Amino acid sequence: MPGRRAAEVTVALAASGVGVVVIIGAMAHDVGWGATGPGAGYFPLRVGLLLAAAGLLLALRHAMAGEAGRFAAPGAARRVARLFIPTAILGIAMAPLGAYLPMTAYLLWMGRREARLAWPRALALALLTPALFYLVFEVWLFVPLAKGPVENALGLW
Amino acid sequence: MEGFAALLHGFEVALTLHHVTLMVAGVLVGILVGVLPGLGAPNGVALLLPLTFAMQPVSAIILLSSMYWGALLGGSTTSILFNIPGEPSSVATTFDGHPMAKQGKAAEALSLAFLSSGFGALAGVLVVTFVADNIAGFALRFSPAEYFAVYLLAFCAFIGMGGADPLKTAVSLLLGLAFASVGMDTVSGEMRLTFGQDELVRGISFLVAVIGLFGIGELLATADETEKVEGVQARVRLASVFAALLALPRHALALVRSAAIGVWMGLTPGGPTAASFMSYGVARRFSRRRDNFGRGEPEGVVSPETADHASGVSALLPMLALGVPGSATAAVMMGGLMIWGLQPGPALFEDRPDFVWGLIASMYVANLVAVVIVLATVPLFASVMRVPFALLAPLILVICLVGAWTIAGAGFDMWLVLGFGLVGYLFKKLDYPVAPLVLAMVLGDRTEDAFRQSMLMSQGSLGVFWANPLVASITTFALLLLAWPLLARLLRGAAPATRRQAE
Repeated sequence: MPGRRAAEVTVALAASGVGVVVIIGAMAHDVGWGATGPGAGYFPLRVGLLLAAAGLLLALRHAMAGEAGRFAAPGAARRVARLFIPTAILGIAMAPLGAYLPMTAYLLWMGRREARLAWPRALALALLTPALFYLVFEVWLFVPLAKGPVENALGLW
Repeated sequence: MEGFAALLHGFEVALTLHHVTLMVAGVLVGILVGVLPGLGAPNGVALLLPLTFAMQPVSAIILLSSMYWGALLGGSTTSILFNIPGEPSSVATTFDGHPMAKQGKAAEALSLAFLSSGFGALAGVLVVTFVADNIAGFALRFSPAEYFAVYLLAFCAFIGMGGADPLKTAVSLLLGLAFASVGMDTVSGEMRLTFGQDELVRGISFLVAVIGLFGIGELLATADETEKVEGVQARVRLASVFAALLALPRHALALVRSAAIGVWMGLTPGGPTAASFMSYGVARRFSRRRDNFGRGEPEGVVSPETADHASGVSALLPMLALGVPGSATAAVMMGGLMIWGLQPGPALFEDRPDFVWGLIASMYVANLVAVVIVLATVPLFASVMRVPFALLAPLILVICLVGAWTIAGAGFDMWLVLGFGLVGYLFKKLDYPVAPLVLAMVLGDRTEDAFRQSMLMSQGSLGVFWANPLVASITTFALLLLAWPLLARLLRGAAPATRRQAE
């Protein structure tokens, strides 16, 4: 587990890196005076420069300071990963597979694995929640959720 | 008396059955959002916003602002009963609210919190009513240079007065400005910072950022902490509400002082969080019962709550009149205004008086509705907190992801919202403030436009920001605020040195 100082330095350097990316992006445009006043790259270039500098300063300050203890308590990273990884899979799966099937699988997984629900309760959670979403969003509010091959096959809209 | 007639017209707009129903619905959703972890007011408004695209702007803003009032009250509930602030702005309420609850005075603490919130909100909306026309009239004289100076002031106020590490605040702000410039340039039409990616042409939606940073990031940070939730059971009886109401005059001084602090921090972009901390700090310093603070002192509940609501309410005025939101939630609402096709600024007061005064009138009604509803429903909403986190978190995450999808129906937004979630988690762990990033994303394009127009007017001379007394004083004040952390350190460093010399 990296310490807090390492985390501070890494995040500050990453911010500085975003600044460099912004500078590179801005350089593709007019960074000086154009036909309509300051060019398209003028403002982003300055934002990028300031960001790169501020990030670098922060990184230096934390690198020079002493060790600042640990970043997270033992086991915290595992808890965060066990929440984030299934959520990330759900988020990424929603566009290609539609909202409903991944949502059901996700809730079943989280209900069984994390909340330790018995099968009937976990199934109720995983099946009733998507149904509720369908009723609220598509039927009541007319807001379409992501559709995939399963919804297509069922002709669900 | 022009303002009074306008307000009366506003009440005609606000008091229709449709709008009162929206207020009740907004307040109920808001309390729920305020009570649930990971669903604060900014995130709640961001999630609800895509559903308002088809509504009348007045109805939409009434719904969203009512939700904001509900969320502020819901945040205080969890602070007092569970020692978990539902909102950053109710952190200060935990200091004395939770000790009171543990001493068996939960109902008293809740009633006091809600009633002083109501007082704060009323003070805020009264000030808004009386100064709205003046501020709008004042802002009509603004040229692009003044606008840029005001935006600069908002950014510098966050760095100088935000309370977080100034460098980290600056990084957060600059990231927001950088994200705001992604996509088509409004002046030249060039594609900026897209690096050839078609998905980036639309730009990065601030709503996606808010849902990721405030929603997913907050939940990950909660999962990181192991602390068990230990709640205090509470049922608010009518008797304790009346007792609290009778006790309020005893806190008259604290109420008025806190309302003044709150209104000031709302009108200048300090925000409710800073306001509640400042109000608590001032109360602890000047109260006659200062030794009792931190151990369940009622005044320690009254002070932050009053300021929190006074500033939350008054933060909407600079948002409407100047286009400078005074809090993260107001920033999200301002983004909504622009999506509904309204331009925040003084012209809004002339072109859409029904919208402006309908909103202001609704603030009177909705805050009253909110206090009544929250008093009646506290036990119900508090029971939500007893649902285990392992069950609550996945459900809230599903809402966040679906919410991110409804913004544009874009698969790329899902990657973005997850990325912002991780950033939000790291920011929270490392004490980077998130609100400046959101504010900068909402204000980014306007700031850049104002800057470019000013430069065009002055043919590239920065002197335009000191061209007349008004813009000069705003710019100078902004730069002073920016330099404040350094100045304060110099002053503090110099003071002991001179004392040593004197000895």
